[in-house]
Amino acid sequence: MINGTQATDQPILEVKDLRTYFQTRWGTVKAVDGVSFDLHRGETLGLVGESGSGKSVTMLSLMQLIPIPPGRIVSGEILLDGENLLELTEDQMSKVRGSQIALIIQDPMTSLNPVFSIGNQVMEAIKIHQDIPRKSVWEKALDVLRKVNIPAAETRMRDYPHQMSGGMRQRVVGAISISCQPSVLIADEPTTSLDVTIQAQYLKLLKELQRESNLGLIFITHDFGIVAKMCDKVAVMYAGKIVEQGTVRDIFNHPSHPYTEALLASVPKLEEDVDRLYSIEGQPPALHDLPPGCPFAPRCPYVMEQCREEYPPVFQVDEAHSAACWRLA
Amino acid sequence: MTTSAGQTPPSSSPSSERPGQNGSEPTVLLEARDLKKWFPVTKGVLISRTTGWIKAVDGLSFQIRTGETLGIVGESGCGKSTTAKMLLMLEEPTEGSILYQGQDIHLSGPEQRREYRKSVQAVFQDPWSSLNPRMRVKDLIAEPMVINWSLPRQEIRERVEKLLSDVGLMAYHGNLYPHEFSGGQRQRLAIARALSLNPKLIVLDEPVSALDVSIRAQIMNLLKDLQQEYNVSYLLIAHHLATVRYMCDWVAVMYLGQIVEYAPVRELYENPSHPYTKALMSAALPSHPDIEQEEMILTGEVPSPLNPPAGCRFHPRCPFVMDRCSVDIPVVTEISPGHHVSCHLY
Repeated sequence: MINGTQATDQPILEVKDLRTYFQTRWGTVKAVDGVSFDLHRGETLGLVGESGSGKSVTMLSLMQLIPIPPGRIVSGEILLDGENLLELTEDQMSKVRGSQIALIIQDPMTSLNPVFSIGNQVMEAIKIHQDIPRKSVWEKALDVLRKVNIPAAETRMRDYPHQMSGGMRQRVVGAISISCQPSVLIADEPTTSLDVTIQAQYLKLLKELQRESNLGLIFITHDFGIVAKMCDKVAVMYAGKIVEQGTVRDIFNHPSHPYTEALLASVPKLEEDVDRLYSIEGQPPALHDLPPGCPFAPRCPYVMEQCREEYPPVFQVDEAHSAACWRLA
Repeated sequence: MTTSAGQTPPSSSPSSERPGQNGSEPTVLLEARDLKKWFPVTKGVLISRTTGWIKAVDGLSFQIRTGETLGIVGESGCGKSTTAKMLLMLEEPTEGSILYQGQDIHLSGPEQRREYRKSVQAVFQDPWSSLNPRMRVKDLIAEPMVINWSLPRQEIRERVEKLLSDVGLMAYHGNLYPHEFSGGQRQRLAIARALSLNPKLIVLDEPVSALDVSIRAQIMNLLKDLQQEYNVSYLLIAHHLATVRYMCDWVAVMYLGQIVEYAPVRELYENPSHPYTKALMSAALPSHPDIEQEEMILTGEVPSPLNPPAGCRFHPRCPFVMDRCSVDIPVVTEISPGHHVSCHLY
């Protein structure tokens, strides 16, 4: 572990063989198909993948926000502090959701209710999850807004979302999600709609919040830049499966799955001139029509006969580094 | 950044000059001189009066050379899209001029303006909304040629097939509708359509930011290849600094409607000089976890262009602010060949 000092031995979140399928008119779509990872307190995991790779469905499964039907969590375990979330009733889960495991979604424009004031929305979460006197709810809300560095928080409490900029709104969303001191915070592309300098402010804020309360943080992103800046561990997803997992340096220095390697080579670099980017031919596969073997085989430069026939098992590259590719056999 | 010097790809474009050939400087294709666009802010419905101006673009000067790419970087609201609209003649500049091959387009006659519109095309960010869903791909690509050129049908069909193959699609794709394509393929269609009239300049407004990561490199490489083949210039509008470094020959950094720094790409990335450029660079994400970045996080947000700060527009957020910054407007200084900065530090 990179942040050995902050991480404790017992993982705060453990996901084992999670499978979430959707019934569609084209057949069963295996959006998440056997995903396993763990997360310690104070640690940041980056879940990287393209659209349709299953990273957002993984996140929704963790929060149990999958629309049922058509979706269904077929199997697996989600252990939050040793408790399997999949065995909880909806009532029990709604107590966990927001208080122990919280979520920041991508778009701050749509995740706030336009007809309630900022203060109202921050207080809502506190009222639901914390048993504190009414009078101090206001104080508490003010407190979290200050924590996410919202200037003039007292006056901002009475403002409505449309009166704030995108960066400020995303801060409010952040304030709501940390208001009940969760132990795990999932951020689903939290900065894609923000400008570069505002993104830098926000990432710094998330790091500070993490340090303060020893949060386990999951970053869902397609941007390796965010991974390089923020994460300790990385899991790369492709077509519903984790194809490679390791520490951030493992992934950047010795990518072992051809997909990871290709992705890293296809990103232009800020620090140096690149003559020509590697471009991955073809497109991500349709999840309802996956090839029998490795789903990356049709786009893989190292493809072998075996790859087209059988899905590769996970091979251990290093202590904390593993990849599912036949070349490692 | 390489230009097409020394390479002779098969060219179907009728243009003769090639940049860098015989060691000569590429010719200036388009020049903007002190370009301004102010939008009025009005009050009242029936008897409306102007109460102020939003200075979206306020005094831009830049050059685009034949076969080269100029990148414009900046945050939202800095005026990059308004600049693009003015170049596409979708907005009339309030002041200043756009010189195309030495001629002011807003003073020239209707014939020349039509000619200009043909030679300046655009590819937009969102390939889902920029293609008419009710037209077949072959008609979409042929449309500009049908409107502007009187070519026989056979010739247009051949050209559509050539364009489709140039952007990496098959001839049979011409019979499909846009919804049958993925995002990357649609962006290819938009590029084919933009190329159909053999333009001299294509305005690329965030051409890859809506695409998947693995597709972005495909489109960027395609754009670079086509630039060589068609000898076309690009104006690239982007916020992702690494993309700009890969694609561009020249870069202009904009802040609140003005260019704060303008330099050849390598010079700008290796020697960023304006405090705002430095802040942008340090805010951009690294390509490796071991790269240590200078910590220079700006506080606050971009002020409203309705009421921009006096003096240097960046001074309320600038970490190196001096007394004179809030009073004097900095002049543009050339600190090394081609590298222009407007800051009181230089």
